[in-house]
Amino acid sequence: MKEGDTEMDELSVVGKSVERKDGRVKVSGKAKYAGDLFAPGMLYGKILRSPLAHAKILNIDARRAQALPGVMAVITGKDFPGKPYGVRPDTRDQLPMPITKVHHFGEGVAAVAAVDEDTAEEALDLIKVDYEELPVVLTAEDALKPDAPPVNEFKESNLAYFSDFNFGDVENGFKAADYIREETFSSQRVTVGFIEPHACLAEVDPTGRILLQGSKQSPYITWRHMCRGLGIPLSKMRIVNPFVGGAFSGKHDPFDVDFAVVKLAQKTGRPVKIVLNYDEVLAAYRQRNAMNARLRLGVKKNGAITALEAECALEGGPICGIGPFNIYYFGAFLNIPYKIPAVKYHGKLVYSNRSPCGTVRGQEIVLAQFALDSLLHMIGEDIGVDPVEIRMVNAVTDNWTTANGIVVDVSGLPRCIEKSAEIIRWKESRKGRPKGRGIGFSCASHPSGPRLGGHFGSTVTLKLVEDGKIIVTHGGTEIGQGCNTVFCQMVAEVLGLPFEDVEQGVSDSDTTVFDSGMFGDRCTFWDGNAAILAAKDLKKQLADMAAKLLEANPDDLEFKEKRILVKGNPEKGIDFLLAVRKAYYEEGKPLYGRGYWAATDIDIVDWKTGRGNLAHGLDFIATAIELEVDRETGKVTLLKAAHGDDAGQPINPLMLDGQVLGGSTHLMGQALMEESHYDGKAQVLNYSWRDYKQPTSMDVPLEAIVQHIHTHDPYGPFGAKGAGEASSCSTLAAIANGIYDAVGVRIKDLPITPEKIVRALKEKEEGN
Amino acid sequence: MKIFIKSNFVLPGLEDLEDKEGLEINRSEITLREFLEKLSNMSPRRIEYVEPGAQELDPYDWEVEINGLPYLDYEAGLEHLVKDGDRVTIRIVALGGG
Repeated sequence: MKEGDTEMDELSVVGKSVERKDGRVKVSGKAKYAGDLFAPGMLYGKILRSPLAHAKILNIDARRAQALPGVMAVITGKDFPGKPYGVRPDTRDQLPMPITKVHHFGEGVAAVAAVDEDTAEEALDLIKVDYEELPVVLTAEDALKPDAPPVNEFKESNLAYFSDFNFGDVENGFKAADYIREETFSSQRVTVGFIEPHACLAEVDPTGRILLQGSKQSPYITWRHMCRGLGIPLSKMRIVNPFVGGAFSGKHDPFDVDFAVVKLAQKTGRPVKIVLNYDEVLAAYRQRNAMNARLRLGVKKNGAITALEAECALEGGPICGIGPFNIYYFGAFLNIPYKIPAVKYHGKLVYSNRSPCGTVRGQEIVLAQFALDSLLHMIGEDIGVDPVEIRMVNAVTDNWTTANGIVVDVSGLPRCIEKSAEIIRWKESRKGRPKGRGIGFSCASHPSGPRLGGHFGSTVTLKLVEDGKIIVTHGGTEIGQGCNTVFCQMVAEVLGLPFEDVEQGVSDSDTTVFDSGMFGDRCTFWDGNAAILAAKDLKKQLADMAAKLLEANPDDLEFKEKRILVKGNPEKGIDFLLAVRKAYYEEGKPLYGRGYWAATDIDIVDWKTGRGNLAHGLDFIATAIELEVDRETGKVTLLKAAHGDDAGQPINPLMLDGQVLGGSTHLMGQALMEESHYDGKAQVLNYSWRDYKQPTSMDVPLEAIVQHIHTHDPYGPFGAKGAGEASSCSTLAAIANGIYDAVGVRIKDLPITPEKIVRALKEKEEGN
Repeated sequence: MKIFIKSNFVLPGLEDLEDKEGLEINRSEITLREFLEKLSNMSPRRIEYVEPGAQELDPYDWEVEINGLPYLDYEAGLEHLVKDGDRVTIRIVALGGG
């Protein structure tokens, strides 16, 4: 065990399902989100959107809008410096707002600030934009045709990015195989699915310094990109994060709404707020890539995998965005959760005129795992190896190094598989089950935060107030996942305080060292370690002071139940609060704890080869889903979900349940019903909640069980790993495999709609 | 002279260059700035390593080392003379998340 660890039976706050710090204010509607913010003199902003998916902007005439009483400013792309930004310096292909052409339906082309929302809306109608319509690109296949119109003005071709990875000896791997099967898989465009639409409020102070308060998943990313796009130094912008109503990877980047609100505030000298409606989000903001993949898998007679070859094309809309990482993750994570000695991978990202993609929970490991775990099930059936057995044969175990160099210190996957099979009553189901019922399995793994270079650490600061209570500020972002609560738990544990004595502070770039981003299951792991170190820093300061009073060695002191005690001599001690007061009132000493943590021993992402030890804290999951298929209508009813989940030591078991079930439920929509539809001119057809279907409580299994498989990650805070994304990755294939088990049809094209099932059943009956 | 390049991304314009192969430069010495400018010019869409007029690289774009040492550890920084046989490591930094 490393420093900061405590034997599990000694833990008093960590490992307990304490109440969320933000639970009551959220459920009672008192929490203030970006849309709730107000500033004196505030104006209201609106964005004019392109009705065309691909067109040259010939002219924008805003004179009539500007003349409308109550309109304070109108801006277009020409109001910005014209500096492209993007995730990597070699893939910069976005402008704050377009200047020469629009790239997708609903793209913002102008923005208005007015004294009220109605006036701003009215002004939008008065802006005249002259377009010259261009042919559109809809699919990956179309994008790469020699005569395809180029989508992005910063690139000559529609091939936005590609990767070629080779791990191990693939040729010999296939030679050693007893059985080989090749299949293709595809998936649809889906929206991200957070509750709160994009919203932000910008103010500019008399010195020109900008304050942006917005609904952001990764304020650091927004901050850096925006300062670049606006051509200002970092110190000229302050970002404060209010409550965030979910993000799921859809709120990392700055959007036109963020740039517009700042520019309008700069032009008017008044605060400006923009709150999007959800139609705008569904039509024009981040979605998950559509995928076309081909996988070829070789196995031995017992099902042990010998080699894998994969090709993947992601259609990502008109920008690269985080797409290179999606391509990377798809290929790098074919190596896990199964032991695959050799992998060959070619991935490409292509531009199109559909809405821009980022990613969604689980990143494109979700899609890789859908394809891989579907194919594994198919092969298992071909060679007569049970679905549970074939996963057990291949499951990654402790101290395993994958073919591309990812080191797995601890894997609870075999136990996860056993548990999920046990809870779903797999063996019993093979003896008999109602007609139309089936069970599907899938496994997955997710890293606890990669290292992308640049500023990549996590920082936590603690302020110990005179009343003995602690305020935590950390560089992560509470986006609903519960990080504020788990850090308070960790700090309370280290300092021997009740959970209630630790509070969460504000997320503000002036006082907080922001994390490089809030993604990839990194928060609990990275900031958690930093929180422990910050608490230990504070503990040392208090121990040094208390030791003088107690005439003891600081190392002999322990912190328990709000007291500082000499170990083995509990009568000799002082109250925690007394020590705090002595610091402030007798020594004039402020009490701050500081901790930072960065996995400096992992490899920075190698985009070229896909090799390297990408991350610590690989979390694992095995998901089993029981379902029923109505053969007449094709309707799928999800009956029961059983997840064996290895997130190391659960810090807050109830919240961890929520993360696992949330991730899985999220992807049930992608498996069965969600799809963003486009017409032949790349116009989104279903951009309202009436037409875009997400699962509700009526669509998810009535019974969902999470069995925590307790492991202890050697690098994780209190042995914890990240959580919440692996269950996203294991759900799609579990449902596809379950449908096959129920009615014997294999759908490899998501979503698995009733229409597809009925058609497949009909074809099966006709022997086609 | 020959300069060896190690990178964590596919260098635009030098897609087929192996790490151990080295890039032939038709000069006896070259500053790091000039070398990076040369790479920019070789890339089809002119990837900018050094922003025009900048005294150093944007640390959120690139991490660059010469023979294993960060380039800023050399007194001359971007003006450091890269010599025959030196190894320049260029790592691209990503600003985003999934």
